[in-house]
Amino acid sequence: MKVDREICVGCGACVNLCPRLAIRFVEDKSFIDQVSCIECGTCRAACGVDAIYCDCRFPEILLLNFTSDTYEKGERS
Amino acid sequence: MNKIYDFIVVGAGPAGLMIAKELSAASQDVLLIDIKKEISKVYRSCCTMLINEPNTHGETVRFVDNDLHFEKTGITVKYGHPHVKLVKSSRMSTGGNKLTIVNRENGVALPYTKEIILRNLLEESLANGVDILTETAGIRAENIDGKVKVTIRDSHTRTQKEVWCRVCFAADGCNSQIVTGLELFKTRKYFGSYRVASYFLDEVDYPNWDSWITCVGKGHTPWGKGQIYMVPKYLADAKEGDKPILDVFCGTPCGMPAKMGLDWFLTEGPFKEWFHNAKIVHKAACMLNFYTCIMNPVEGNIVVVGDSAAFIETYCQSALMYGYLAAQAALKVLGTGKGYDDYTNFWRESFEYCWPGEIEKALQAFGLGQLQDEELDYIFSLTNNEEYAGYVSENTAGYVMEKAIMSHIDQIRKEKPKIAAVIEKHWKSSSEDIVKG
Repeated sequence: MKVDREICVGCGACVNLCPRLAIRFVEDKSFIDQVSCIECGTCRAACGVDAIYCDCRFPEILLLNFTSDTYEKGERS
Repeated sequence: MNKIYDFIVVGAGPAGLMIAKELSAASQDVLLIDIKKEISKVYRSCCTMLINEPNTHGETVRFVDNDLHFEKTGITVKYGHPHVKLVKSSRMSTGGNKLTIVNRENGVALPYTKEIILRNLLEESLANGVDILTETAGIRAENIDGKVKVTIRDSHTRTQKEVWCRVCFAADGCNSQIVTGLELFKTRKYFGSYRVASYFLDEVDYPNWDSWITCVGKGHTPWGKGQIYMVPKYLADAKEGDKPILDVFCGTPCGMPAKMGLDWFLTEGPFKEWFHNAKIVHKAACMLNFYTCIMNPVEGNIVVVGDSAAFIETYCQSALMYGYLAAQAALKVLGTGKGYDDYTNFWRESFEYCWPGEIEKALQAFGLGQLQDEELDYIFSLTNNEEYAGYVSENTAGYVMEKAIMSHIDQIRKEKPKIAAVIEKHWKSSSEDIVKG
């Protein structure tokens, strides 16, 4: 998930709700650590002004896994 | 081990700042931490009204010489800024009919500016020598060997640190991170979550400057759920004699966009002509969890204060009061080893939602939105020209409304028996039915 800092009003609601503690409050607005975020969407459901959006990293990663043919080629043992 | 503070206060809202101010005034070693950079700025939606009904949360609060005076606790909190006097509190249907609670003499509620209260308390705390860490989150508090280990995180560097204290106060609000990590959190029952968006509007063509307005009905928002509230108030830069601005806010269950509802209400809603020329001067938002109260707000040496322990929230005034009392209790404990019982007992006796049945009653009053718009419009057409004595209060306004509507129940039974059946069933239904809608 990512925060549109132009829209974020800085109420801090998402900060304490994040189950991964991935959200920090920098310069009185929310900031999501992309390494910690698991895209559960808790913050997006809580945001009163819809400042949080999904960048959909995971579907791309999943897709890569399913289309990969590394095992068939025998590149890994 | 590093320095051990006497007290660590997590959260610098009204409760946290009041604690920090009181403890530092008693020459204690206090560390105050908050996630915000500018502590006194308020970006969280909050009505911030002085609920002047006697015995609200066991206390009677009034403006005396433009400061907040708490009659029973005997304390005064510095204010010194304009406030609004509202004489009416109205529930308004989409057709514009109203059910109005009136108190012309004292007002039904007195909206004031939270930022000023926070600024004054912060100044006093700093003057008393409180250590303050801004842009720092309180992650966890643990009782270890009679002391408390508080894990904090710097928002810029993301590094976690441990700080130790004798007593820790969890005053980090209704989504308290500290409380979530405690054993006593597990005893709470969860009802649901609401999110809120709020605009402060200037230059509105608005007829209800003397009223707190709750818009009831499905036609106020595009999806039919959620509520719009309107309250005149002053911003922190207002001067004596200025016209107040209008705070309009929309609350919806989580998952529904509060901001979209608010935008729709202002541009397409039934009262859109009031907002043709409106200018947004400030924005705020928040998220509210409906939990049962924490009945025993002390775990070891961790004291839970204000919103953190409450059903939805305590009023701003009561956060100040409970903060003061928690600070006094903790001082007593450091001196004599005992003292939390007074605070715990007062919390249970004074905070209405700790009492059996009060949460159910509150949720029933909120549930008036279950009726259809035409039905509400019809009911409010009966009460439109009447005035009922009362206040803006979560705990008593429901009774006044129920009485007002029930005084017309015979007429409703005759004219619209279906509506009468819905009303009577509604006031008998349980809180869980209402939350589930």
